[in-house]
Amino acid sequence: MTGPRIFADHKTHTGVMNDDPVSLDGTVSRALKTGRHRLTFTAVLFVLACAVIVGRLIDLMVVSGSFEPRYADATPVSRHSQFDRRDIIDRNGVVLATNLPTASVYADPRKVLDAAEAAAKLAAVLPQLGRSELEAKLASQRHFVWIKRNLTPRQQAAINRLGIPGVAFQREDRRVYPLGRMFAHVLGFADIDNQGIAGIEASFDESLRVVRDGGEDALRLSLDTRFQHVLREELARGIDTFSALGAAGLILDVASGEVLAMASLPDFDPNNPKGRGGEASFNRATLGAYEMGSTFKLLTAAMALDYGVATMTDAYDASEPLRVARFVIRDYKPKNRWLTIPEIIVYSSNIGAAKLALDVGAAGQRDFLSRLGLLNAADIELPEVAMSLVPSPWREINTMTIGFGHGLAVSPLQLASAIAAVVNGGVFRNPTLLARDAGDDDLGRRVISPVTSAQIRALMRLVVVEGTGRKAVVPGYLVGGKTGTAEKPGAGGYQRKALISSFVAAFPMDAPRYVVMTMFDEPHGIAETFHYATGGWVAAPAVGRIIARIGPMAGIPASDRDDIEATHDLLVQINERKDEGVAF
Amino acid sequence: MRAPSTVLWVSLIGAMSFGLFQLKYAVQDREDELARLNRDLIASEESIHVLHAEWSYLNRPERLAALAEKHLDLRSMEARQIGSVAILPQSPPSQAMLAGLDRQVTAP
Repeated sequence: MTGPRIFADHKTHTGVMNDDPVSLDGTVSRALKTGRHRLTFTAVLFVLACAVIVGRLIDLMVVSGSFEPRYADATPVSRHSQFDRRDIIDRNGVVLATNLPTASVYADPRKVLDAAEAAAKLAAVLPQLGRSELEAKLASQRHFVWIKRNLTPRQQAAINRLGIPGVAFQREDRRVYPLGRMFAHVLGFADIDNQGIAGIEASFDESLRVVRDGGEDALRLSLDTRFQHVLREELARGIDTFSALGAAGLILDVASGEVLAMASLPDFDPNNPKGRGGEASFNRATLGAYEMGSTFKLLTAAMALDYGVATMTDAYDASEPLRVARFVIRDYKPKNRWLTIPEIIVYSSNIGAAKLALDVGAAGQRDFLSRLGLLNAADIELPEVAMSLVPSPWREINTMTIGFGHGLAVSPLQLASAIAAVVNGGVFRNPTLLARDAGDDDLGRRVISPVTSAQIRALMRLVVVEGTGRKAVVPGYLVGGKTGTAEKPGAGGYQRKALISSFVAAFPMDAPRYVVMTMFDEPHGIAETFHYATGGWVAAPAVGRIIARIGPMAGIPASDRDDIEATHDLLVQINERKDEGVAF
Repeated sequence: MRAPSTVLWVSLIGAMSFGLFQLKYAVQDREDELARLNRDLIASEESIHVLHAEWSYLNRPERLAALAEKHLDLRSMEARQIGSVAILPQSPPSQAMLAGLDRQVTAP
C-alpha cells in the first residue's frame, strides 16, 4: 500500500527524475522490492489456501469419490433388537423358549448418600429383600452391586419413583418358557446369566448364544407341542390312577427318527429357579436306565428270525421252568406246552424267549443289540443320557435273561428307537430332537431285513388283537405293540411289588408312522384292574388313548377293519388261542 | 478484469460453501431420522417378540382345551372322521354305494 504513495510523492517532488523508480536511491528501492516480494508471497499463500478450500469444496460437492458408496453400504442402515439367546421353537413354530426384556436394578454404593435410608426405601418396595442385607450392600465400598435382577415393570416404576441417587437400572433379558412345564426335561433351562444348564439349552448353548441380527432365527426342534400335550396328559392320568412314582413317554417318527414328544413325570417349572434340580429334574426318558422286561422279546424274535435261527412256525418247549445253574426261569402265566414264536410273543413266555436267545448265542445277540444302539448311551442332542448297564462278562445266563428283557438296562428312548427300527422296514436311525427338513434324510443303517420287519409288525399286531396288549386297541387304527413288566432291582434281588410297567406300540401297523411308548415307575394295581399293575393294564391303555388322540391330529385315516389288503400281511397263524385267559 | 474474476470466485466459494452446509444439515437430519426409525424398529421388534411369547403362553394346549370345553360345542376328532379325496367316488354314487355309506354312518 505504501509503494504508490512514495512513487507519487517522488514525482511531484522532483519533476526532473521521471517515472523510473529504478533510478531511486538504493535503500528505498530495496525496501520497495522487499515489500513487493512479501506482498506476492502473502498473495500466493492466500491463493493457495483459497485453492485448497475451493479444491476441497469441489471435491465434496462435485467429485464423488468411489469410497463414498462403499462407506455408506458398509454401515448397516437398520439395526435390530438383540437378545442374549436365540428362541427355541417346535416343528410347527410354537415358541418354546424365548428371551424377554426386563430391567435389573443395581447400585453404585459410593454414590449412595445415605445407605440406611436407601435400604429402608428399597425394602419397602421389594419386601423379599432383607433390609439389613440391603444396607450392608449399599454401605460397601464397591462400585457395583446388584440389588435385584429381572424386575417386574411395576417394581421398576416403584423404584424409579423413589429417586435414590446411585441406584440405576440395567436392561437385561430373561429366559422364559411360555409353555411352562410342558417341555421341562427336553429343553432344560438357562440360568439368570443366560447360560444353558440342562437339556437342549445346555447341549446347544454355544449355538444359542450366537445372536444374529434379524431376530427371527430360531432353533427348530422336531417336537410337536400337540403330541407332547397329549403324551403328558395321559402319563399324568396314569400316574394318578395307579399312584405311580413317575412315568416316561415318547413318540417317535419311525421314518426319520425324529422325537415328536418326550415327557418324564414328575417334572418341574423351568421358569421357577427354585423348582429346578432334585428328583423332578431327572429325565426318565433318557437318563433313566431300566430293565424293560418283555418288550425285549420283540427284539429277540426279530434277531432269531433275521439270523434264520428260527422261523415263524418253529416251536419251543415251554412246558416246564427252565433251570440254568442256580436260576430258574418261569413264565408269568405258564402254558406248560410247546409254543410257536407268535405264541411266545403273544403269551409273553420268558422260557420261550430265553431259548430263542440261547439258539442265537451270546455273540450274535450282542452284535444285534449293539447295532440297535442298545449297548451304548443313546446318541441324542441331550446331555442327560444314560449309559446302558451291560452285563460283564456276558454269560449264557445273561443271554437268556436279556432274551426276555432282564439283565440289560436301557433308557426308554433307546428301546423306542430300537423298536422304530424293527417296525420301519429294518433301518435304524439315531433319534434326534432337531427338525429334519424334507430331503435331509438320514439313511440310517439296516439292522434287519424288510421281511423280518413285516413279521415283527404282524407279531405286534397280534399282541394287541389277541394277547397282553388288548387294552391298547383303538377303533379305526391298526395298533401293534408289546407289553413289558419288569420287577425293579432292589436290595437283595428283585422286588416283587415294585414294577416298571411299559408298553411300546407302533401304528398304523400296515405302514407304521409313529412309535408310542409309555413307561410307569412303580404303579399300584386298583380294583378296576383286578390289582394288576402290569404293562398290559397300566401302560397299554395310556398308549391306546394317546394314539386315539394323536392319530386324527396327524391326519391318519382310519383303516377299515375289514380291509383285507391292509390287514392280510398282519395275519399270523396261531394254533390255539382262545384258552385259559392271557396274562396282561 | 480482476474484479469480475474475484466476484466470480467469491460467489462460487460462497455458493459451494452454502451448498455444502445445506448438504451437511440434510445428512444430519437424515441420520437423526434413521436413528429414530431404528429406535422405533427395535421397539416394535421387541414388542413383537414379547407378543410371540405371549401368543405361545396363551395358546398353551391345556388352556385351549379348557376354553374349548367351556365355550365350544365340539368333540375331539376321531379316526373315522378322516378321509382323503381318493376315497371319494368319481361319478355320482349309485344306490348301492349310498346304501353302503348309510350303513357305515349309522354303524357305531
